[in-house]
Amino acid sequence: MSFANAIMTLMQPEVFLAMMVGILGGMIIGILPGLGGTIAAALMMPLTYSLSPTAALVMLTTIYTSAVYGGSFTAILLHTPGTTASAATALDGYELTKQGKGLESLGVASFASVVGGLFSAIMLLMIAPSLSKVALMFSSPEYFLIAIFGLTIIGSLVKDAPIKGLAAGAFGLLISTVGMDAMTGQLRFTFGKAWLHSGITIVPTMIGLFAISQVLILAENWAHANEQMFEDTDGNLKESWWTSVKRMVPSGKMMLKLLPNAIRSAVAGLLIGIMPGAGGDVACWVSYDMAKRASKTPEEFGKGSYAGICASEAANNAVTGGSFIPLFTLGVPGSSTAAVILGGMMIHGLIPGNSLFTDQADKVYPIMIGFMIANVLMGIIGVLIGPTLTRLAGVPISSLAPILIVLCMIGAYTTNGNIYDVYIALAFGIVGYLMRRTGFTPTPIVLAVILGGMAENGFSQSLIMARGNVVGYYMSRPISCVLIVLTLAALLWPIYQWIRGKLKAKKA
Amino acid sequence: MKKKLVIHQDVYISVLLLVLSAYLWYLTTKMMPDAARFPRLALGVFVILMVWTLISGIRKSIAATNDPEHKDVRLLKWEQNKMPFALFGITVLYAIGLNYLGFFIATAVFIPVVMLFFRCHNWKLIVGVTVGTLVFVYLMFVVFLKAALP
Repeated sequence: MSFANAIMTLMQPEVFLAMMVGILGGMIIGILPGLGGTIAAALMMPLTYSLSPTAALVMLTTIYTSAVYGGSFTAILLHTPGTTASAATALDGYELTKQGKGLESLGVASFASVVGGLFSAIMLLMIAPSLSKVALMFSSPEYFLIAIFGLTIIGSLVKDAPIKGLAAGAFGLLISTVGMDAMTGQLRFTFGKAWLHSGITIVPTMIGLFAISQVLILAENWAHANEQMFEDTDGNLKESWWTSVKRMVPSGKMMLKLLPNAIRSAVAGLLIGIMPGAGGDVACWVSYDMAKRASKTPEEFGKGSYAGICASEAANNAVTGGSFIPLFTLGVPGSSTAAVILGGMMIHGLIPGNSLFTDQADKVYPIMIGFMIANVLMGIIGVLIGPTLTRLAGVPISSLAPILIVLCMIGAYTTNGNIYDVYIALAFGIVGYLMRRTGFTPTPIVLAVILGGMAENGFSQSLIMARGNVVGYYMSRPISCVLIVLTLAALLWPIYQWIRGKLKAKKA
Repeated sequence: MKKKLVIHQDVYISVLLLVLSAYLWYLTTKMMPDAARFPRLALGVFVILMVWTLISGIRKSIAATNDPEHKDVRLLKWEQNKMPFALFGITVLYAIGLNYLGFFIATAVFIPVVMLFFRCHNWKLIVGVTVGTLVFVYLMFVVFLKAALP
């Protein structure tokens, strides 16, 4: 597929509109504290149903990067990171806001986010097609093992409680078996209900576990539900539109000065994004630390440094493209948002692997180039209307909660036009809330529900192919051996770290 | 002084989930062996991890009982959780209402009820949020996306 064809596809009104909706929606939800890219992608998934696969995935990938970018607005102006990936940004951003340089800091964050996102998008375009050829060597055993490897990122996602994380993953695998077994036609765990024959639908599950549970957490703050969540005490949001725009556009000299820092941080963010389990929250701190070490004025970090904001924002946006590399090529989602996007890919018939870059090249190349363009447009739109959107962070919970619940119900219902999906979302909503309040994390369930089918099919087919000698069969396949080693390492490493942390805490 | 027995929440959770696992295992005995294989594999891993959680919970309970100053039991507290549960109850009624009243009527009732539940008495705001949401949903989902609503 030529570059010109991809651009022509992107110029279609449907695809371009999907991109704009993705940018605005992602940015708004990213700005609202507590609601990040994962919730944004899950909530906006129903909007993609009537779209073409290209438009749908352009929207979903754009939501991810825009939500991460949106998180920087509240981090800088209100000292409240909209997402965990902007935690390091808040450190210097808010210090600069207190010094009357809030909008200038937003300008630097916009510049860095564009550089980071654009860099990762270019790398995605360059690396993913070549890496996907590895998937050509995969057969059933490898598909089983790659699904299990994908599940082992659970350990990295829940560092504080890896055992509970893995237990949630095993429970998710169990949920993925609900419905009719593809191999035998046997009904499993359907309790005589016809609407369970086709299994538990992924979108209502995600909406319940991520979005409804988050609304219930917001309700804990019932006593303050009518107060503005955050106030603009420093007056940056009271500036006129044109003044805001002028102050937010960094000078050419400033951009040139920050460019090496932005590129270095983008490289770090990309590499961290490729690694399963390590997301924007890790990348922002790693890059922040790297920038501090490289700086001639490290003492400014933490007291209001543009370089600190630049490092954090370039890295967390570079993570997005990085996490799409294992997602598109091998079907391994590197983060919870990537897991939701994987769900979206499957809904729209886009199966990760080599065929995505050959048989479905007419779809995937526009998606990747669209992601590249979206990163640039995101920065421009952010400069134009970012401060206006940031006022939304003040919406009281009493108004926000019912709107979110209504959107959740619509999202669950429109998946199949089935009221039972609404009940499934509600059930997973309360389960997700209880999980989050008892030290469990809902993300592993979503990952396992998505990867469960692939794992079971691969497992069952490889048992037939092994003809009784399962261990010998797996060990005779070099890629299987590599995947087994990687899986064991990914599985045991967080447990080793957890035990080591416990021992250290005991000694202290 | 007599020590007060503190039971960590992990003990309750793991016992409850182990009982559920036993029931699900029983259900797998009624399946064809090939169909039961993968659910049993997942259940087996789940049971092992829950036993680990139970042992860890018992250890935490013993530590919390012996050291009254160190009660890191994080039990779900009614004071903290009653409002989320109440909101969840309202949402369940809303979901049932969606089925019987249809989306627009059920939502026109639900939004004011939730806002009143959060003690918002600004009627202009309540009407604005309700009408604004309904208009947005109508335009976006019915007119633009042509999605079927309940």
